Amino acid sequence: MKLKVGQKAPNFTLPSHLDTKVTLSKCLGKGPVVIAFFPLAWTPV
Amino acid sequence: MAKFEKLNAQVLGISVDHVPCLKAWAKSLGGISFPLLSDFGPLAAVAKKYGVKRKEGFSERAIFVLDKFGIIRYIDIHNIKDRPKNKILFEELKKVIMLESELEKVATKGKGKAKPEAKKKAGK
Repeated sequence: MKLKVGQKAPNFTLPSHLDTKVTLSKCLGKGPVVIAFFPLAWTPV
Repeated sequence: MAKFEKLNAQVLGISVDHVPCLKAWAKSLGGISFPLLSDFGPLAAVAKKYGVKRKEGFSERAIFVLDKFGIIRYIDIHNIKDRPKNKILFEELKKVIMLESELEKVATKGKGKAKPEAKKKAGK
């Protein structure tokens, strides 16, 4: 399944390296959100 | 990162690494101020939802720009060996912000009847 421009982004909750849980829907509302997927840590991002 | 804050944008990094690994990596880079999220369990479930999970188990190098309503405005699935260009990202972010302010004008005129999709621009 591929997402397209104009679709609603699926929500998620994930633990972060800052010891917080981040829920996408809670980040929205204030401004745009950039989600950057990267393959693996310790590789150049 | 200050540039993102100026645009009122939040950045979320996601990989399939687990939290201690992300912590160590962030530390090695001198600290990272935006959240690095662990898509570890169930393995790469979020990457799968977004259609960017590779058969090797980790994700593509991909960027999704969402407007504040959660609508996807820009998708960049990058060559895994390359870094995405920040300049392009900022241009896309500015477009999203311009679009948002247009939408707000429409929403106030139409008493909230305007759908965010109504003014969707053709994606690249």
